[in-house]
Amino acid sequence: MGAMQTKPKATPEAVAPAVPPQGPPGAAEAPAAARDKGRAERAFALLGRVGPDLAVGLVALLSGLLLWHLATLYNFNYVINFQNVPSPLRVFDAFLTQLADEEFYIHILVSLRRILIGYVLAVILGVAAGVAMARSRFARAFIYPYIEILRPIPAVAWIPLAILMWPSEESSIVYITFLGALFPIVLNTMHGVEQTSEVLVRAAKSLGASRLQIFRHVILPGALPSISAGLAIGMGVSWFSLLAGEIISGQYGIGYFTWNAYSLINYPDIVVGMLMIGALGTLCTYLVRVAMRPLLVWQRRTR
Amino acid sequence: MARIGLSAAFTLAIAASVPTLASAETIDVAIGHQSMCTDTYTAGIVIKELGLFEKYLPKDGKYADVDFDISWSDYSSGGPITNQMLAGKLQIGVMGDYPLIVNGAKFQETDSLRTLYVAGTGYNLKGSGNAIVVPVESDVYALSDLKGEDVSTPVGSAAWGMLLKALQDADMVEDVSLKNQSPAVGAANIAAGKIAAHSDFCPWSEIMEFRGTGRKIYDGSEAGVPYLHGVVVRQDFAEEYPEVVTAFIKAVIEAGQWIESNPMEAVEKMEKWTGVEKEVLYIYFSNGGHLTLDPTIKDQWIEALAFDHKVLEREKAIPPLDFDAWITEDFVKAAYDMGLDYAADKAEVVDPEAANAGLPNEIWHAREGISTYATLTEFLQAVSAFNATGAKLNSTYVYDKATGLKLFGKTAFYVKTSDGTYETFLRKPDADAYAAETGGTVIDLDTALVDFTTEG
Repeated sequence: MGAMQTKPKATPEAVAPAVPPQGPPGAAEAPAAARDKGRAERAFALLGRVGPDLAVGLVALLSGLLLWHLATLYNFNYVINFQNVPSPLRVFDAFLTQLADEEFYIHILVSLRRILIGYVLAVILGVAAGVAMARSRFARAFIYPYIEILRPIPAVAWIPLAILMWPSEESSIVYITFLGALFPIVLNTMHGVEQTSEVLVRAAKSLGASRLQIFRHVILPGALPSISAGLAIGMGVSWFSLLAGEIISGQYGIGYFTWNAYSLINYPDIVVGMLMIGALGTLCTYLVRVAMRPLLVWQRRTR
Repeated sequence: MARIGLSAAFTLAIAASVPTLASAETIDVAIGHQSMCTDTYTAGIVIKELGLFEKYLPKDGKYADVDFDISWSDYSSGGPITNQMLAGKLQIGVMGDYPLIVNGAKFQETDSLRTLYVAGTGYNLKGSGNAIVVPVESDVYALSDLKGEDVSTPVGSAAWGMLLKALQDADMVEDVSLKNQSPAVGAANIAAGKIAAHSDFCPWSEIMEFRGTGRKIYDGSEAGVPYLHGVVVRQDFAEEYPEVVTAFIKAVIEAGQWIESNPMEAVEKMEKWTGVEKEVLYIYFSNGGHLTLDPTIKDQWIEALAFDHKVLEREKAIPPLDFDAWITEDFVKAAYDMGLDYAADKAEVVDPEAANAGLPNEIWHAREGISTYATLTEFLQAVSAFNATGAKLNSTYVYDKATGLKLFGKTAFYVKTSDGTYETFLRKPDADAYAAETGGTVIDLDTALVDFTTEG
């Protein structure tokens, strides 16, 4: 994670406006060498900044693991009972067994595909609806009640209707995933667009910018931090919802895997499924943040 | 979830109130039952609602100064009951054969925790109660039509085991894509026509038939493995309070007697308690119904359970199960001291094909109750006459000529033979074969009734 983080952060800062980052090799050797040196220094500095945090995080995770191990080893039983909770080693064993099984990867890929489809649809519709609601009083009055009424309905409650309404099982699961991602994206987009400072809009207007130009160069960039927060939250919630869909019905998917293990009381596999969901959810949220980063460059530039 | 939360809050409230009654010991007895699984009713909803457990609880000796705190939790399958028992939150659980195996094996896998299989609740010798259902509009009439299709079932349930056996017998394991769907979801998918077939346990297949959404194409009896349910108890509890376990089985026995003495009243009460239509329950609990209520532990049951365990071992890597350590007749024998003959009950095995031969067809009139008809001709005449007067019929029942199973009159296949008599069948292939053999025609109830309105 540390290494991945340094790269995108370092690149935009290192790029001088006139020189493209992937310039032909040897074209300007001296500046390139200087740039490399600068980049290395910056990467090192970044590691110095992030390193301690990473170390603390790692220690926290490891000590959690150790506590879990000790609790199961000594059958800890005070308020919380660890007597029949599988130990980390047993879970790791089960994890290795699953890794050797082709079907486990199918479960993961099927879940990822559902997330991808549901999430992309939610991003398109959510951002469009959010922008419309923030820019048009009519759109807001029209759409907002739907958002508010539908938002608190938990994903599981949708299951029976989703089965009835959608042509296939796959589409009903994707629909539930889509719903999960939609609301955080819509609301964050709307608030982001609304927050745009009137002063900036008026300044752009006085410089002769058209409505479209104002939207493109003032409002949208201003809203992006909020939108990207919404996208990250939406990704988390879509995993949350996906599982509800897969748990109830299906043949593949990591949520289905977990639920299947439950119906046969296979605790190690249940924990494998839970941790896998956690890991995949974290990874996807991280990817969303990375993907949004280039769009947020202006924030750093203006600082 | 809300139920679990509520019961947790309740337990806390009880725990908080205990110090004030410091003198009396309180024994917690928590029972996990399934209100959507008919075969468990005599160890679940009936005992709960009639208060039979309380009636038999020991009140003298070491129990003289004891308060019992009995709580009931309702689950939609056996797995979660085992989960709760492992957590020590339930002492007694009632479930079907496959979940029972998982229960016993999973407990034996732990260091020190064990359960005991102490009594049965009911059975069907041939395996009826589980069935494979297709959407009513489907053109699938036999298991072999399901090649290349999706079939769903609650994985780990008795219906799942039956489906595996059926597919193995037909050499179709590779030809069908198996999906895991809980009963309610499977029923919704059948109603919406979203799945080719769904295999489920009692009473779901009959609920789908009765509501007109599904049609049985395969009855568990074709797999030929007995279908049974039983009661498991945590061993630590049974050793500490054996009299309480015996009391529970006495309640199971009385619950069975209560149903058998008046099935009509029983199914009406059970409809109120569970929400399952009384017409559906009647097909299980009436004379000639699918379910034989019997708490004894028969050798055949142990064989059937051993067979089930092998299936689970092969398909789902279930740990080994020591049947001798797990199954005990001590408690059920002790419960039979109510003046009943355990050996006689244990020896008696009801085979629906023999037991139901010659039982009359039935019409359940909404106001006048059940009337019986010895022949199908009389039955059809009566249905036709009732229809002419606009009378409301709750349901009608006939018997499958092939297996002796009780069927809904409206979903059965009728064969009108060349000499003008009728026979009824559960499955279309059986009806077709019989029609070919006797020169008859296969018709449905409405077509059969047309004959009677035009003739009469």
